[in-house]
Amino acid sequence: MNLKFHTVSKSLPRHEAASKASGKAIYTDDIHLPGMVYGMILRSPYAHARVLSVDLSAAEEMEDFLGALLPEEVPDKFYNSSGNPPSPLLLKDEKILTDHPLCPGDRVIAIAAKTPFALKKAAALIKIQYEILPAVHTMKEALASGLAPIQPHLSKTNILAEKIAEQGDVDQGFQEASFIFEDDFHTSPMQHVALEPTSCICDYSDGIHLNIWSNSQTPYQERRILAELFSMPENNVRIVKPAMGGGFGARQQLHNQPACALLSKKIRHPVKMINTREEEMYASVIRHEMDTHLKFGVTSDGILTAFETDYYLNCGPYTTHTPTIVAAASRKFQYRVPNYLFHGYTVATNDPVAGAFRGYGNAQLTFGRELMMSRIARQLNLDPIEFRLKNHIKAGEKFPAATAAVTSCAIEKCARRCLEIQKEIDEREGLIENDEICQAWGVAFSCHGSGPSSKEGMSAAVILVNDDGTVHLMTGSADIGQGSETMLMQIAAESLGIPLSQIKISAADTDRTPYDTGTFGSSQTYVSGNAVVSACKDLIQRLIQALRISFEDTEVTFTEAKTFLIPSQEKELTFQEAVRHCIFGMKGMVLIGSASYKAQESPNPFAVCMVKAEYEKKTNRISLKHVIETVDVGTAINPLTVKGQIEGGVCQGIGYALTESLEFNKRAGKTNSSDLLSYRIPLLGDMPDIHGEIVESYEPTGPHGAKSVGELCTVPVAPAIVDAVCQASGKKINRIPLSEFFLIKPNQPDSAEEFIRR
Amino acid sequence: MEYYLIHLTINGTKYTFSVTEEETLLDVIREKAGLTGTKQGCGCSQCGACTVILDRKPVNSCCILAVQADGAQIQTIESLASSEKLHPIQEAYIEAGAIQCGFCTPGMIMSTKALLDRNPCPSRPEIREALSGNLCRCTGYTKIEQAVQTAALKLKEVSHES
Amino acid sequence: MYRRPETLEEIMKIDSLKKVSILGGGTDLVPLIKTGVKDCGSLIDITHIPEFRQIRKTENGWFIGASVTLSSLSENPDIGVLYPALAKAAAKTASPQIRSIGTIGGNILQDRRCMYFNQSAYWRSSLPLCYKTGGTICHQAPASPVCRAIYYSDTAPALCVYHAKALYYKGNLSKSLPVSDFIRQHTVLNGTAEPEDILLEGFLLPFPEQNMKSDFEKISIRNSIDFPVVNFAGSFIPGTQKACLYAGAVAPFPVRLEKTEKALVSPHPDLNSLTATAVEEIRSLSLLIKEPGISPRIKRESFQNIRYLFQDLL
Repeated sequence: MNLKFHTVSKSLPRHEAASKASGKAIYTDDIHLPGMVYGMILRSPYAHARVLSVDLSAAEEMEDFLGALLPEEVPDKFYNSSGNPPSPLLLKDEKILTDHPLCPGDRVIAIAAKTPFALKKAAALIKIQYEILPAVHTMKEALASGLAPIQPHLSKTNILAEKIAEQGDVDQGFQEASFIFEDDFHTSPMQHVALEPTSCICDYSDGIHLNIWSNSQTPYQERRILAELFSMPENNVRIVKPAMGGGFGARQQLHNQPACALLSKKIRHPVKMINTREEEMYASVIRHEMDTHLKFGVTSDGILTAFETDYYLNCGPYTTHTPTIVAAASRKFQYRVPNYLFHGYTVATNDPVAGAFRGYGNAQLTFGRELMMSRIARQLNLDPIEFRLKNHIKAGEKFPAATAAVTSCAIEKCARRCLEIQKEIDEREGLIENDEICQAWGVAFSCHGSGPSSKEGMSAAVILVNDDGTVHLMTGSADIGQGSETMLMQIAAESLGIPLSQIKISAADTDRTPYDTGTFGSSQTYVSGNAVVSACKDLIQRLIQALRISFEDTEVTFTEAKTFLIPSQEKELTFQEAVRHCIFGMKGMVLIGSASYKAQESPNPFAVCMVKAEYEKKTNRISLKHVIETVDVGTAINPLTVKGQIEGGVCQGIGYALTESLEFNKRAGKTNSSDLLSYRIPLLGDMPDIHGEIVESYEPTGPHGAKSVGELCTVPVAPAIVDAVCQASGKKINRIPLSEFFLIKPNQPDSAEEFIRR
Repeated sequence: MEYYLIHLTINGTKYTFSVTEEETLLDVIREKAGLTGTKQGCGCSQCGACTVILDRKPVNSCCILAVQADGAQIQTIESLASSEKLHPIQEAYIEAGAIQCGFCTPGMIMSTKALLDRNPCPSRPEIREALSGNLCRCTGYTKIEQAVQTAALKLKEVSHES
Repeated sequence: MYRRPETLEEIMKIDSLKKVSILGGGTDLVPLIKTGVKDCGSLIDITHIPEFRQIRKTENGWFIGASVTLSSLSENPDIGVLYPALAKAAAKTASPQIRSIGTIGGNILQDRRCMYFNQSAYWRSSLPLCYKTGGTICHQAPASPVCRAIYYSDTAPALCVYHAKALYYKGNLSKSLPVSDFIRQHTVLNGTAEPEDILLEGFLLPFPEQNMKSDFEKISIRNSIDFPVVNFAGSFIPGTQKACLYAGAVAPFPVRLEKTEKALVSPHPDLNSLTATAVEEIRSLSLLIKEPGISPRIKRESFQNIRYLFQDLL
């Protein structure tokens, strides 16, 4: 273990921050190609319908209207839009355009016009006639017998997939228990609300080469799916990810690209398609609604003997990621339990399509599990934190039903540090309980993986060395706003012993950078980071070889101090000096390092979250005062970025717990929340104080000891909030958002409070 | 369709544009003036990504018709940095780690500028109020709040020096 | 078509106001045009008429022009001292960006809102037209003979409790009405697809009487951007029989709480019983509908927050 880092573990500003701060960063909508025109998808306003006729005649009178792509013009084959690597869990069930829409927002036709205004006008002039068909909107309805299945080619019922993960014998485990606790939980569908709408520009105008600029988390998977769909070789498909305004899982799949590409081919222009916010809200992708039943067996001294869950996810009409999300959720039980049974279901409905969302099934399952862990502890008169720690997996032990052991775990440090911060806050502010107000704390633990828990993570890196010793790092890894490019540059700088300023990065361009599974599963630090470490090692080896040849010295080595030792010359060269020595001259060579990395592990990062909530008794109002979250992410490659991930994850958890829900409107037969007034994501003026901290930890298999952070930190927030609110209000609540039960009050910090405290 | 000639001063440069009554100020800034730093997040005044300063006030340019803005002085994100140096507000955002995906950043920075132009020493509630028309989905706002405070201090130093 | 008259005379030449849309800041109208609920049509921008932009003291009170922006209203020192409830209501409306350009006139003449109406043309296309879009049904209450959309203005209750008068032109005639009546007139018409045919000039607020206390409270889920869950405004002169209380965002127009006013001017008003009276009265006057993100039960509970208004007034 080498904990003396020079670039890693430093809070450095992002390499692209200045371009973003000055408005110079180029996002997809900022790109303008010669001849480019504007496209949009006309979508079904009904949850289930059949298209009877399409009348384009009025639009066709418009000078600026360029044409439409109809359902009968797209390849008649099913595909799965998920940006996961090929897997039997990815079921093919959607079409590029459909005359049989299965949810509101389903793609029916694609149109193009010369200007955005003409496009809007044309859309209003096109008449599509529908026959409205019966639709199902709840999982309960969907599971009722005798119903026509939504995806008949996949299943005779609306259960499209099932997953069982088990260990031991739960029946026996419950018999051994002194107490059995069971309960039902529900979480609502949520939208990602990345600030940049889903965007793409597709240029397939020559009918041979398809070039796409899009905000994609998984460009290489998208290239594979598109090549397959259009029966074309992958070398003719190029996907470039420009600067990207967030993803959170929503762009871990294809959206409008297949239709936009075919439209471009048909009208022979590059086509730009930018989703409206309304399309984002319910015609892109959402987090699954969940219903679960949880059952715990516990001994009288607080040892878990058994855990069982039935876990239902509402996937909408298309499965996209759902079976893999269900499988991923089964791998997040972070407590020692000899008897474990997870039974997960993928349920089809005519609701908006659900897909990947930060947490990937973990957020939903952890919600009920952690609430119950707190409640069980209190019922047994145990401290909720000590009860969890007593049952928590330690390094070297396995999660239930897992094949590999946990490689590092600093959960106890996380918990202890959380308690210290809580103590400081309570000493400063006290904990109010009087006739009007009751304040209380809640707690939740969480874990996640570093890279897909299926261990499908794979990445590669290439390092081109310039003749002055600076380098160009090329990676397929897509920075979607979380800061992975800077983090990978720090890993390279650390590995090569050069300053960050001597590295340039190119990323996520399928023509110019090597394969990467994609930005999901919190993979970038661990999977792409390990690829960069390996590529650096490869480069160092090549440089050693070059120096050995050049100096005719077989003893040349690379030292701990990141220098090249040449014993015969009694010289030590820096990386830059070594490069300059090797690159020109009669024995000169072009230096390139490269490596592929295939994940063998998906090490678990851990977090502890504590929330202080306030309940106003007379008005049934709740507000959040403090959220503390401490994380074990191994080495934090860039602590500033990691803290940013914690704070952002907390904020999304707050929205999830308090207000965010895509509400179903019975009369309209579809979701209500089509804008950001109805769908409330937290604002600065609503926020409690967030205290995010990183505890010391080291992951032996990670790049410079690192694990992941992105998804981990949002997972424990909702259960910790609900735990705190239940404690403060005395109510027992098993579902979110809490706005169903309380009036939500924005947090108002004291105006006299000193600002610079953190 | 009718066209209107409008005159705008954007970042100190005078422009004349021919626009229809449907076009928004944002359309003109991005498509006609080619200043793509200002972003569209929602198109209906609910996210603040398109915030620019119009006659010294922060506004959502997505819901102001271009004809309404005729004669106005507009400042966009592109006006802040000089050729060799970033504005102290931009520096503060970068140093604080207040920028993640960056899509809300131009709007946030313009709201910050409008605040600090009018109130150089804002209190914490004043900062929270002034930036509450701007949504951010990445940062949890903590570092943005810090960046505004740092920017205020930086600007104070600059004004002391000069 | 867009026109921007620079004088009152110019605007008076426009023959029929029915055929035009009056444009203030556009913060309410432009999103409705963008979602296809309203037509761009013929727009008359009244924000450049000097008289409409003034806040000035007159013989009969303070005049606030229709085109005064919410931010200048909230920042005006005279208004802040004399009519604090109005200044606070203006400061609590929407977001800083919207207040920069949104006007008091536009805020009063804003469209009533409903989750079936404030949707895109595409979203609405799966449902028949409602009263507000020229149809013959209210989706909120299919048995209702009229539109049930709610009026959410934050400044309206505040203007009401100061007994402001709305000054406006109909045809070429200059008219005035108590602001509460003016709002009633607007909100009734606004439940149909019929356009307004008036031109609002501004508001005249009588000078505040000595010792008058007044305040405004807005309850919203987020601290900015959001429309109110409920809002309350009150004016009160302790030791007299003069009190005026309004609640907003609970019906198609602001509701006056007359019973509670009587309780407030009684000899020893007590916070808890006042609150109970007010809650009961708001419940009896409210006409709640389904709103996104808040259930009718929570909304009804939110009326309890009127206690914070009484805390300030007593």
